[in-house]
Amino acid sequence: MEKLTVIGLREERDPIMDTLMRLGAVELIEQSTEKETTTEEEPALVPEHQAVQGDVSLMSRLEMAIDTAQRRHPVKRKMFSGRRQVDSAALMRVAEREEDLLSKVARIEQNQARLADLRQQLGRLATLRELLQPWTSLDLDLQQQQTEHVQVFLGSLDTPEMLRQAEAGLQDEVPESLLTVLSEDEGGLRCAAATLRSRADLVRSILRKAGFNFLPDIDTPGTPAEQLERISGEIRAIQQELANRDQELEELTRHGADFEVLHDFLLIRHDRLKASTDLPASRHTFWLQGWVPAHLVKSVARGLESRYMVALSHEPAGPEDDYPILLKNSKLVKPYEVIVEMFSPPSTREQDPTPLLAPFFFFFFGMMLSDIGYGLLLSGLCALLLFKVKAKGEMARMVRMLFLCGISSVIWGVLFGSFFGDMVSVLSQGRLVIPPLWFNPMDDATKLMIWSMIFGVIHLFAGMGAKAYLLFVTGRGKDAVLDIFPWYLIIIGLGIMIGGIGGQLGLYIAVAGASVLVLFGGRDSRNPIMRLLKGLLSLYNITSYISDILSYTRILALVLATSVIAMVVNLLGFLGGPSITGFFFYVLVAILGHGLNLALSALSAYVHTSRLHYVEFFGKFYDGGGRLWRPLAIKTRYVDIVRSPADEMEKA
Amino acid sequence: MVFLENLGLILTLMAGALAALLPGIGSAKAVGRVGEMAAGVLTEDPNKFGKLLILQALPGTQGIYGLLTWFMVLQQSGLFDEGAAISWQKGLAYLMAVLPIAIVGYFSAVYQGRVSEAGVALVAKRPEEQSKALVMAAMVETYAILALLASVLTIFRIA
Repeated sequence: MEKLTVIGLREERDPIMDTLMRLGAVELIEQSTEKETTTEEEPALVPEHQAVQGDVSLMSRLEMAIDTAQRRHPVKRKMFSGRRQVDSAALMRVAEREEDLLSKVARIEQNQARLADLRQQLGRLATLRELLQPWTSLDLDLQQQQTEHVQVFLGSLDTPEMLRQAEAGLQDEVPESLLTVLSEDEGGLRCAAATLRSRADLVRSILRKAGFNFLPDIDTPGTPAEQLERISGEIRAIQQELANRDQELEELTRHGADFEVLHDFLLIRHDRLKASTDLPASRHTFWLQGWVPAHLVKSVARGLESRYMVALSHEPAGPEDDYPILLKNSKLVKPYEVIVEMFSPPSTREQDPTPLLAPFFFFFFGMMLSDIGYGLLLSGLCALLLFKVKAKGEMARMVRMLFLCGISSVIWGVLFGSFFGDMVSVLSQGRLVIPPLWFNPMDDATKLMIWSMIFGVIHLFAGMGAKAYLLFVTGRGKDAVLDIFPWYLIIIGLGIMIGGIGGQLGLYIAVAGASVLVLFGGRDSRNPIMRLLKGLLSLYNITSYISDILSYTRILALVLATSVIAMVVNLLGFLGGPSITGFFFYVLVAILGHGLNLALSALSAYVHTSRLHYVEFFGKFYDGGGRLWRPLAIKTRYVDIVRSPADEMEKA
Repeated sequence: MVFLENLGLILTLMAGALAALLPGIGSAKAVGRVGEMAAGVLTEDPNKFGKLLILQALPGTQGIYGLLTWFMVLQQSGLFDEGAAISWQKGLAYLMAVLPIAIVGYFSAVYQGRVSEAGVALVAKRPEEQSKALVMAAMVETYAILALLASVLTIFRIA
């Protein structure tokens, strides 16, 4: 990592930022916000901040429009296909139509608001129409429910019972009133009540008590028949407008693809503006600092100096700097960077553990899945994703790693003689058996358990070796010799003892290792008794080594799980026996069962291989705690911007 | 006396049933609860489906270990071959052998489910940290694996 400092002209700031984003090779160092800002600079910054804010709100409006467009014209996308690719010429063509497209967005918003409004009106009218329907025969202007002295109430009563009650009530309290039934049907009685205007309130309350449903006030003149006709007309008009608006919306939302491009264009502009407004600047110049990977410094410098008036300098990152990390590995090892990055990238004082991790991850994953059929399927699926669907980014790295692990599974499948479990011998009814190249774990589980632990010891030794190497490199070789190497002796010695070979040799080796630990384990204590006690205490670490080694027996469990479930699937599938229907049934069960087993076993293999590396392996030498290098680059949400042919020519 | 003659068979079948039962129940509980929680997160962000599904699948392995042990018991005792006689001592031995995976498998599944649930909450807020949630849940599974090994290796020895 190199620290790059650039001083440039303020008027060229935006194009320079644009170039930096295109290069995607600089991570800007954020300057502390307490920079000296003279008062005369402030006004210049205000419009820029407003522009940043404006773009944010435009983007969120575009997102809404894109959502609507997606709903109206769903674009089927293949799974894992990644994002649409747009070349930069097409991007600029869309960007030129910004005004036009934004007006379309505004139109969409208007239409949507209007559509909601219209639907609401339609609902209201429909209710009113339903209410008026029974009154069609009434020849009375509904707005004119009163004369100079008389007030008329229209409404309905549910049962004759209620009518009698209302009549009785009126008779008692307001004799100068009249209640007549206009029509009668299964929905109830349509009634009209008339009284003096001076008694209107009293009559109203009596009627309400009797359960009289008043017809709502209507503010347009006309008899019910006329009203109904008017309402029908209005409904027709509204439906017409609804259809028109909907049609227009349908048209407008066809531009969803352009909206996506425009959104990303605005996003890029916003990012650039935001990055540049944060830069310290004087009236005519600005300066920026950033981290550039050493191998990219030259091209960044060339890219800037050839186009702009800039002064730049760069220096290697010092040990005190908190610089970001970019992992660099060969093509075969690179996919495993995902595993390291998920744990934690190396800190500035550590080595990248990926090259050491890669072969072990490959080895253990394959061992856990260990099936020719499953391995081929896994690799085949990954190859399909990589080459056919063209998975991108994080996904692609993961897929590449699983592709390699699938190959490893095939190799282990050959060693253990497993092809979809015991599919071959089941289908041939025992006539054909794939001979294992090494041995079949189902025949001798104990053997596999012992080998799992031996491989585990090798894995742990590699981790301890890495620690020793780091100690030597940092000039603490003595620690490596006195703290780590004795454990090699102890573990090897104990292993030989348990294996029961070489007579007393194992014991001597283990005792030699242990005595180094006892004598030197507490060497930072001056008091000889304390020192010896501390040394003895350090022997207690044997428990952690034993639990680490035992942890590798999970390999056996996972091997058994994969192959036994595969056997169960084969057993179930072949229940129908060797007949036509039996084979048909077998194919069905096999596809379902082996598919499920592959998914679950691959997940288990991935999770447990990760665990063996994160806990047992990294526990020996690796802490992480670094920060990944995140360059200022073109970030998009909907589409991927690719260079257009014109760009390539410009470069050449 | 028919009962006593068949005692070995009965004990062996009980052993197989127990091995498949308890871890299966535990896994069902755990996978169910993680699923409920994951569905809640999906209402906010359906795009996390893939990541959450993996977390949900994790505590399901104990059920598989149970099935594996069941299969081992039936295969090793010769129940898949017809007419195999099993002494009651052998049957009892199988019953003892499945206890580790039956009991530890149940509890390991339930507790792994709880870690996975917490993992769902983690992924809801920080989807990029999914692998850490996975590994933490896998820590709980270790004990189911150890119990499985104890059971399976014992079953291998009984024959």
